[in-house]
Amino acid sequence: MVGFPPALDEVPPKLSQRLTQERIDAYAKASGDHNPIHLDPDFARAVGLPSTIAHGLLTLGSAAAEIEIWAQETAWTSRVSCRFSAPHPSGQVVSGQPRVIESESTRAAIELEAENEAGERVLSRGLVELRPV
Amino acid sequence: MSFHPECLGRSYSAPPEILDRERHLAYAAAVTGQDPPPELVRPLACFAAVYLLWPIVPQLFSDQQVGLDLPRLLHGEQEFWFERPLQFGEELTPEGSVTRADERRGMVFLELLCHGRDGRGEAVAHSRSLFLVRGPE
Repeated sequence: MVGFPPALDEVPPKLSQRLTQERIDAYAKASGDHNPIHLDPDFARAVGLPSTIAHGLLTLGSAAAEIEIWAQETAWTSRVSCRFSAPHPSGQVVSGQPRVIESESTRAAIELEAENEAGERVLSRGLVELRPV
Repeated sequence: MSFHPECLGRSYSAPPEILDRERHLAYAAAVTGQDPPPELVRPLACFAAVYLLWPIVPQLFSDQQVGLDLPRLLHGEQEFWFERPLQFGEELTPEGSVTRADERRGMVFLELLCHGRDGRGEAVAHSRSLFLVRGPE
């Protein structure tokens, strides 16, 4: 990001990250969320999932981190929010193109939506709110 | 385990958490997929999951007076917001409470609101989580 606020036509970095089981395991260790639906394929299948799934907060954290790293020299993040619309199976790429939707002198809002490889929306109504440092 | 809607208002607390730079490095490596992760000026916003949400959530999930069926639990929505930029090394004390607890058409809706208080007692970090529990097939 060049300066604050970002222009409405400024394009934040595209999200495209493969959430491997290794990353899911690393996130579980770092966050303390050891729910077996993320870690144990047999358990995941037993509760009706095709495989283990990424933590929603790993998916959101990965998407938000791209924007925060892009903006960190000129802005801090005052809000991050989303709806987890569908599970993100382990090993799949999560992708999306964030958009600047509000640009004011003291606040900018970035819309954040992301989908899995099946084209299902995994993050919807996503928002990252930035304020100048 | 059966759900108890009268759990509305149940509250939880946890000891102070330090926004530790080393712990953040492991977190940032997981969410960025880069090890080491990029140099960061301040903690990533969703690191609040580590110091604000997860000190509270296991207490909620194991609370017999709430009665969540964990294998059927889904994380529906999440919001983190902050009153000011946080710094590495700060200490925040987490607290949480159930602000919605109801059951509609066999689906349980439970909202957990958490706050992190800084050394001056100011609530500077907040989290709102909506958990859903699917009914039997």
